[in-house]
Amino acid sequence: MADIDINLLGELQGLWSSKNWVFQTEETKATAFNNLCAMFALLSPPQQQLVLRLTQSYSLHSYTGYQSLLIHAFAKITNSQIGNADQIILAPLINSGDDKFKRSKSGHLLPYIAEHVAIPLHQNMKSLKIVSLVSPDAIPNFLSEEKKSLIILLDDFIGSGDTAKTAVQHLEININNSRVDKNRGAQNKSFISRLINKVKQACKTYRPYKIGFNDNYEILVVGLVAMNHAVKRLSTFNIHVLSAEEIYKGIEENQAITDKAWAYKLIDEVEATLKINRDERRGYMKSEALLTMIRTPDNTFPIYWCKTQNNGSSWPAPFPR
Amino acid sequence: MNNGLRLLLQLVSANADISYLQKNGFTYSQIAALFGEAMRDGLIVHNDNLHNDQKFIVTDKGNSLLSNSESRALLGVQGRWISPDERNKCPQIKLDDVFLPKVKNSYF
Repeated sequence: MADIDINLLGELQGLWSSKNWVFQTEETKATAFNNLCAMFALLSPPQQQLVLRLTQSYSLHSYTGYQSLLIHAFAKITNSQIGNADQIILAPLINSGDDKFKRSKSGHLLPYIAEHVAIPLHQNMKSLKIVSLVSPDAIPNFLSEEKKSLIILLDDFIGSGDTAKTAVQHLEININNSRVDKNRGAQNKSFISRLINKVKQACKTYRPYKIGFNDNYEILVVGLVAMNHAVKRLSTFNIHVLSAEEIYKGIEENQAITDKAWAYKLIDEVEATLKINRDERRGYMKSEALLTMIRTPDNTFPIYWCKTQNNGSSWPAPFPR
Repeated sequence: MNNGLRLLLQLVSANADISYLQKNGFTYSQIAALFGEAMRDGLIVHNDNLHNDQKFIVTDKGNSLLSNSESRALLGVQGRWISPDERNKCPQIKLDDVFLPKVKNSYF
């Protein structure tokens, strides 16, 4: 273990000042900095050098920055994406099938701000009808064959793309189920026909459900910040993602770190001392994110958010979740 | 110049760790605030000499502050490179006060 020398503290002070991060209070800001320094004090000198480089790429967006990020993200929606939509349906990007308790999620923050702040500033969207919903489950109720709809699913951060993929998939199943019910009428709503329909859906590849129906809607995922690898991954499933900012993997895609093997060895050494799940190593799904939003996502390297070491002692996480 | 800033300049000069400041009750953020103040006032600058491990150096202005007449009067010549340990500082008493130390604090 190494303590912090005055040079390292000077570098951290310069880095911290240059970031201009906004915290809720001066006290929380001081606590985060104290924890950052205390974390460095627990690292060996080579680990300190690596984590210093990672911290240089770290981003923090507090709640106060959400509005401008959302405006920025909406400004990227092109005319071709809007198409000839008659209405825009806004909903949080959540997979409601996974959440029995209907808990509040980060995505719930955004539809209201989008409806009343971001869309009125968008030249080609402000005149459209807006439907803002608290759950994507309600979306099928607002779709019709006569109106073309642009469905925008919102979240503050797109990390691995898993949630976005599942949520869009879930939504399309719901839309199709709703159309099957409408088209076939009550006589076909038997248990067996529903079951056959579900099995057919499950057997087909991803996003088959528009086949045979009138494609009178488009889905767009909008995040405040998105990881570049997740955007690419989702595009292979034909899911379009827009965000105000795109961030890259902290080591794999970091040009300041040339010796990747050295960096992975060092970060793995530190993470081996932390009490985290296997799939959280290097961030959930090895996302290698360097980011804190209102809450730090688990895609971020755990050294920044994990609070406990394997031996039971505390870990001074600067951005705990 | 406050004693914290004096200590910080001395630590930068000596390229030392900050444990002494911490033992004196300074948090990391307080030390960083002092560091920022010293940088803004031009008492410390980034060292551009890449062959030197010391990334920050005390400027001539910082050095003169450490050895100016005020510091010499307060701390003597040795105050240029060493600062008093504030934990052992006693409150000043009046000229006609009588000082009776506790037995446990007495060296007699």
